[in-house]
Amino acid sequence: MPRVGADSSATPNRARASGPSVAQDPSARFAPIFERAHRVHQLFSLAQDAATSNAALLDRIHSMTSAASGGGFAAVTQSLVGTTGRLDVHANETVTAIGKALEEIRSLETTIRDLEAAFGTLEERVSSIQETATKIADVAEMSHLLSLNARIEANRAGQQAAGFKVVAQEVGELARKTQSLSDEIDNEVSQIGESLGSFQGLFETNRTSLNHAGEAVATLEETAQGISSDTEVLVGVTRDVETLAHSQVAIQDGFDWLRRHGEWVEQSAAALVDGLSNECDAVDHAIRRSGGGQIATDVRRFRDDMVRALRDDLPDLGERAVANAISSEHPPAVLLQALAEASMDVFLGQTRRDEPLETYYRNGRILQHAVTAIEPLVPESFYAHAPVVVLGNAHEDYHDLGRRLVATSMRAAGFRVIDLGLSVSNETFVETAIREKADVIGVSSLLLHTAKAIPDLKQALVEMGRRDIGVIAGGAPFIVDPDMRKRYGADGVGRSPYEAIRLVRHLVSRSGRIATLASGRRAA
Amino acid sequence: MNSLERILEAVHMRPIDPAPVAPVLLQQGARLLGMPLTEYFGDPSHAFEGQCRVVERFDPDAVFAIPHVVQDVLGWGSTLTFHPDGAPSVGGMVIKRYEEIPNLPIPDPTAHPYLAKTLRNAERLAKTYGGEKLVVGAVIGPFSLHSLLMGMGKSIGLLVEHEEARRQFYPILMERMMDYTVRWAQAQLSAGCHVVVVAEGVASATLLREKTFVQDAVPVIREFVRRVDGLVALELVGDASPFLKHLADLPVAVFLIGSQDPPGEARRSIGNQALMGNLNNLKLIHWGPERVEFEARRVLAEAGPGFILSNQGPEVPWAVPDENIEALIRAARSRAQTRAA
Repeated sequence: MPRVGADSSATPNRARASGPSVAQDPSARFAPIFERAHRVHQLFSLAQDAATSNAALLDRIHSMTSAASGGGFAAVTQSLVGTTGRLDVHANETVTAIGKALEEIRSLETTIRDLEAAFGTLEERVSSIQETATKIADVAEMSHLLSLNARIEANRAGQQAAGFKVVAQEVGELARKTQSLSDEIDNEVSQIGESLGSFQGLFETNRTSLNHAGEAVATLEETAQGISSDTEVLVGVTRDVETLAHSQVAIQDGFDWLRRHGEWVEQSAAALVDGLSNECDAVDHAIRRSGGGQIATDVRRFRDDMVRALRDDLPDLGERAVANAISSEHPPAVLLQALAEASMDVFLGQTRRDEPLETYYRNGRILQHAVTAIEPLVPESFYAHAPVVVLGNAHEDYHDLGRRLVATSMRAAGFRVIDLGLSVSNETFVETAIREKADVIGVSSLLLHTAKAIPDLKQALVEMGRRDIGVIAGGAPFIVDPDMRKRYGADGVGRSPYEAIRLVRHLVSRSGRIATLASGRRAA
Repeated sequence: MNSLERILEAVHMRPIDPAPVAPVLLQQGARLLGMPLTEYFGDPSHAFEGQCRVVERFDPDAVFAIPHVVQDVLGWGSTLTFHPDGAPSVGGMVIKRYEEIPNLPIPDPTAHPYLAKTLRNAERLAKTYGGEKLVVGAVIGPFSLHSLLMGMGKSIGLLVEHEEARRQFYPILMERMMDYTVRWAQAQLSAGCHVVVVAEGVASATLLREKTFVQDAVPVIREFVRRVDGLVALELVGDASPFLKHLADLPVAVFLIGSQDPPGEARRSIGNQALMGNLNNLKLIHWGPERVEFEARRVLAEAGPGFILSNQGPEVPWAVPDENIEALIRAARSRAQTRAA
């Protein structure tokens, strides 16, 4: 596995000045005053951090309260309950109606069967009439033959049978009429038969339709039963949703409580910030009154120039401002203080706008130049209260850009930074942190499988009884999945240099020490 | 309608039932073959067998010819470092000083044995699944590849800080990167890939200011798409939505989006173009299957037609349980895309 050594920025800051003497540096006589001023500014910065965080918290609470608006959810739930109830009623009504329809269809089936039977009887009767008509026709035929024979016999008998001949003719006429009537009956009966035949076809069609209707209604009944069953489930779910709505109202009450307390903290923080701001002004005024006015003016100009250089990406302006500030021979600690304030002011805005890495890269090159020039001039005593941070990439992680930007930003914030560089083992992190009396270890990791070293690092510190050393993480996995912080046991995640600095200050102040240097406050 | 047809329907912005689903399952092949990742990635030929096992196990709508996403550096003489529980990483930087750029030869990606085997994978996958599933290739984009050859710091430095070095070397560097990436993409398409994903790891709102993106990244991306003869899918790695509007007219098959890019927002930015994504690949590790299915359905509902369900880039991590991958696929298969975003 390649192991690239720590880069040039990995040296534990710098070969520091031992501190200017009053005799050598006229500005040095203001050093104790500036030191006290720094302490006030530190307190002011912490108060301002608290106010900023609380404001963000309140914003979030407001948005969460709005998102969890009980009214809307309750109305939706109410509507759901109502709709589900009606659906349940409709489902039951549908099942009942379908049951009735099925009964009617079955009754209709019986009626059609009875009618079919009656028509069957009718057909039989018609057949019987047809048979009778045939018999009559036969009788007519026989009568006709009889009449013919009688007439033949009458002709043979001559004049004496003239009367008999008339009778024979009448019998013939009777036979003809009988035949005619028989034909009419046969014709009528045939037509009745045909009508009965077409009725039979209609009965069959009706039966088929009725069967189809029965099948459709049976399917409908099955579907309705399914709807009814699903509706029961839906009713249960609706009850759960209703319970959730009740819980949500409770959550909203909780948010209201948080908001109330947040607003009290806001008031207190605002009072604290105002009070400390006044104290800062008073200290600044005292410095000016005691002859430090020019220093204050120069430092303010330096700070303003650095804000512009960082905000508008003007590296030349930054270099000129640093050169001018150093040549003024004002206390370097004051310049570093001003640089910290300038960078934190700019970082805050950039973090709020969620600026891309390119912005921090551009900041980094300006800050790198400034801290490289100013740091070596700052006396060791200045760092007595500064947070100490050990930085490095996780084992087998070789992505150094993010770590280098954070290191530069932390140095500009007045932290003492020991940058161990790429692919640092947990043992090295721990040894260095203990040896350098570090407050925080910062681990950078771009890859998921290199970030996995962090839980072991935390565990190693716990096993050595050094829970007081915080572990913060940075890198893509922690940004993509914020829950990883908790899972990996890190004390925090810095999504930007600003957040990383805030996080370190928070961890240091939590441990009872006061973080160094300020943010967002004009220097003396 | 088979997998390939479903994906093509999505590319044409038509509603499909069921919705197409194509999680980037690269490392899972090793697990299904019972092979350590170091061995699996040591020879890219394993990826073919791995993809066959992935199809048997999960039946996704797409198969991937590449074993992993960083192999492209090999053509430049770089090396890979293999890890037991993740994708390989780049073993070292090839360009140590800007002054070396003019002397960089333009390598032939197809001549490198590792990359040649990737092409063989594409051929075999096309032969096995070509008419049925989407065969996907991938290249690191011309605007981003150099960050893996010289390091992100040097890359951004050349882009935004060192003006003289930029003037002298940046055009040459871009020309080299363009030639290599176009040739590599074309080789994969010729080998049988239906589409090649171009992953621009540096070109997103996570890393660049909008002005830099428009001025420097957009022309390079456009040129790449213009020169590649075949279907291209574009991934702006990171926060893509704010910049997609600058590429809305780009003739690409599909835009890949990440979990930080809600499909609705991306759709508003890109207009009537197909999208693919975007389940959070790290959360996939820890969510239960029910949550995965829920999130997948939510994304599908928000995205509407013209959306291919997948993870955010670059791939589904090794640690994601198989049950979660199944849940992701199940969510798509049980949902028709009938609603607009």
